[in-house]
Amino acid sequence: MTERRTDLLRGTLDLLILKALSLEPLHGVGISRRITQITQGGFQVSFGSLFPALHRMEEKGWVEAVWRVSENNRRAKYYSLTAAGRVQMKAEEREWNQVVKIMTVAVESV
Amino acid sequence: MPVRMVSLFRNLLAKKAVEKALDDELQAAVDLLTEEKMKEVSSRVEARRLALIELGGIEQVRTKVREVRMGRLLEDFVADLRFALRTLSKSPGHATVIIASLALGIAANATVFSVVNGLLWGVLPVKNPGQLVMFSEGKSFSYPDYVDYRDQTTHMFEGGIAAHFPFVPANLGGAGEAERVWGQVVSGNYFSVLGVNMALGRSILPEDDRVMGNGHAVVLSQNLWRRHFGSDAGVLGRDILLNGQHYAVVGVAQAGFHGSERGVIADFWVPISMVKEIAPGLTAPGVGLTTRDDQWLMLDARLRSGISRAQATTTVNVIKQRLDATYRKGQKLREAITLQNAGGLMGVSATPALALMTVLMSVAALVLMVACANVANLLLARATGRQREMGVRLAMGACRGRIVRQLLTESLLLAFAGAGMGILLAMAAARAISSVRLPLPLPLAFDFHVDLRVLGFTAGLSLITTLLFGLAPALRATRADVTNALKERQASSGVYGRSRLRNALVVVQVALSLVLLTAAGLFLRSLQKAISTDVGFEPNNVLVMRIDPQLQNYPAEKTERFLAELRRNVGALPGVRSVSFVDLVPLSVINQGREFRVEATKDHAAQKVQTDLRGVYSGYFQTMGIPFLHGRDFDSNPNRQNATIILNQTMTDRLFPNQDPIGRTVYAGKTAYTVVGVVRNSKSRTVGEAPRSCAYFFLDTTPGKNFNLSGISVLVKTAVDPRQLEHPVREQIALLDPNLAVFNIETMQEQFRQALVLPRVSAWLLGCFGVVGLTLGAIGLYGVMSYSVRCRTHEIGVRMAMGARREAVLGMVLRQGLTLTGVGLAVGLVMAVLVGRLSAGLLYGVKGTDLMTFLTVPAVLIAVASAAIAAPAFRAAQVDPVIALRNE
Repeated sequence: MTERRTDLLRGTLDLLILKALSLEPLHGVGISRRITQITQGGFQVSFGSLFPALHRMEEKGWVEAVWRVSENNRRAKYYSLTAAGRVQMKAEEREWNQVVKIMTVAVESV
Repeated sequence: MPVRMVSLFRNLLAKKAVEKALDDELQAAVDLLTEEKMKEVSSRVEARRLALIELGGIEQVRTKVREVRMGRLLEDFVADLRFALRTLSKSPGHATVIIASLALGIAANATVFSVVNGLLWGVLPVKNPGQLVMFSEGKSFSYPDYVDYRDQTTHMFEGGIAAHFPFVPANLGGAGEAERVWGQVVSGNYFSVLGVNMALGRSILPEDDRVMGNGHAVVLSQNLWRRHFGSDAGVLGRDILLNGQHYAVVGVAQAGFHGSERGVIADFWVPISMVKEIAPGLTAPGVGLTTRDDQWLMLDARLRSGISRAQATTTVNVIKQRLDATYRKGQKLREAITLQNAGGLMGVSATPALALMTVLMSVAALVLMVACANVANLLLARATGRQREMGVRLAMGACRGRIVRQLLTESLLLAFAGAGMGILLAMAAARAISSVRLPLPLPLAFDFHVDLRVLGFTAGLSLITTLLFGLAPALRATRADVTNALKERQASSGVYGRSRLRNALVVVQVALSLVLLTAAGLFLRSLQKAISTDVGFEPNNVLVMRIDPQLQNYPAEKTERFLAELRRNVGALPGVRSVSFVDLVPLSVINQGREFRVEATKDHAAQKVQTDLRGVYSGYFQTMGIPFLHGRDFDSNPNRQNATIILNQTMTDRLFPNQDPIGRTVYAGKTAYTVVGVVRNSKSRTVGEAPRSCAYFFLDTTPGKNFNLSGISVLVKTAVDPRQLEHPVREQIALLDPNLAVFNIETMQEQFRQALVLPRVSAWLLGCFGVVGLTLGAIGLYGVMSYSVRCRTHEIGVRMAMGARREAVLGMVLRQGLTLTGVGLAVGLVMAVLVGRLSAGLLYGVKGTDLMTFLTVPAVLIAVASAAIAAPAFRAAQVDPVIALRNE
């Protein structure tokens, strides 16, 4: 839960966000909470990184946003995955798995 | 990427809405977080505080989101531009000086480039100009040789080789007022080989060129069609007169086509089959169709696709060797034939032209570099003044790259403003250069202008200059150590020590502008002397107009009758004092001459004199105001049996020293002339010449003899303004022959001025360069002094605090600037004396060390330099010691 963990490898954040959104549309705070949940508290994303990433991904067409009323009756901007976002998620997953494999081999070989 | 484009446009155009949405989103996030925190703490205020802590501050997140947005760079650029405009408008004087400096540098480059562009890179307005080649850089070939080359290379060249002769003067008659025009004779395949489109009708065809003397077809240029025929489409099939012969107009060439040589303006084209008829005078000097010695045709051809230039060159040279072996045994042979891009400069090899252009481009580039150095100095001076601003910005967390980008935007703005002004200057300069007409009786004209290519070049140049002058000051400004910058303490001595290079640059600029201005001054003085020179004739109230009856195929008797009648009729006009004729007016650039001897033998070397010749009518000397020293004028009618001659003083002194020349005989070759008179010397070729030997004989009107491109000049001495008689005299000529063109109408005064065009242009050019040099030098001086004063602000403050008076500070800075100027002047004077000595031969009536010039120019220079130094010096004197020292 240290602050350091928030800036993992570049691209990791994108994958986490895409993953978090793959189940259901969420608002910014929801995404943050979902990431904490799916990483079992191992990773807490700062809003200073999350919002720029969301806007960047929106401009790239991976996610789209609509204003909806939240569970506790507040208006919030909900993000959801687009078709392009799903393709991107699959690609990043593959890439990540590869990195993990390579790094595991490398780390365990010495 | 449509999604991205939409985002980009939304970000740029609907900025407010995008910002609002972001605000709402962040506000919502804070509210959501607050709700969450409310479960942990009781107070809503505390919950909100915790929420904000977790978010990391609304403003911070907002800034980070903004940074990743599309169009961020563009937005930054616009913001930078706005900021730059504001900064620059705060010191308009500074900006003006920089822009002016860059404008001069860029104008010099754009002007030279537009000349290079016009001379070398212009493309003929024809189909696929890249395939067209010209033979041996426009050297001439004989007609039989041409036919051989053409017929033996059809497998190499599309449609065969085309031939033309570029200079055919003609009287255009049969439609409206007769006009003198220039055209070309061309082979029947000329237009099809070149690939010139016709605006109207058809081109000259091989059928027109099949039977000698039977191809009465003419193609007009677009210009002539517009000028003389009012763009009338009914001109096709019309019968017009060219040199008294009937031709049918068969076509009008496309706009922009004036023939295949650059700089030569042709207005009509007739087939080679008509060469004897169209140019009766030309047939005498080597325009034959049967002999291989008369080389007069220029050849162009279009390479067939798949044939390389090298292959074609080999082939034509094989043919050349065969022709040489068959027809030119034992003669001096011409070099191998080369093939160049068609449409080049006539008779000018591309290589030396390119070399000259390279030199010009280098000089222009040097000027720009000096301008850039000056601007860099000015910006450095400013950067030093702005160190505090930069320090604050760095301390506030601005990254260095961002500030450099912003400073470079400022430079870019300056460069483009300079380029804009430079282009305007270059346009004016290109127009001025295009308007210079060489005093030659040939249809030469160049059209230099600023086209897209020049604009592109200038834009590229501005970008490069931006980096040249902007990068160093920008890097320097942002290198500032924050603490020191905020304290505004400058390592003045260290910085100042490094400015030796800058000082040297200023010295060189001052020296060079002195040299240029001195040279310009010498030429101006020379021009002034030349204008007030006694030329030996009276140029006032003389009207000159040219006619060319030879071209009209007049036999000698008809020309003589015509001239006699014209003289009688014009002489009877009110306001006319006398009328005469001459083949070549004095002070024409071209000239004619012969060798004269006292006896018909060839071995009296001592008594032969190279002499300028003039064919005149009686009354010439009276009309021109040249007095007789001995003897008499010619009889009013030519006496063909007994040729008479009139000599000038110089020739008499050479051939008959201390003797009475009247009645003696002189020989030109085997022709004997009896001397009937001696006249005073007058200038013959140029205003600056030493007295020349000159002889006058009675104008020979035999067709083909004494052919010159200026025809015969009609001289009318008037009692009134000579221009008033232009119309009446033209009427009299038209009454005698309505199809005889009158051309080059001018007064003798104008001819005199025209004769000085070369010295005038040189003085003008040198003057321009000198003024540009002086301006740049002054800016350079101003920049260096400003920079130095900026660096020394603290030192000056200390001096004043210690009791130095303002006058002392003023004097100190002035002294520093004037020392630089003085060194520059000294170096420049040495060079100027050398240049003066070298150009002594080009000067008239002025010594290379003309005192007037050598006093005036340095005085002007010192005055300008003092003005440039004064501003920074006064700024130094205004330094307030309290402010200068407070920042310690």
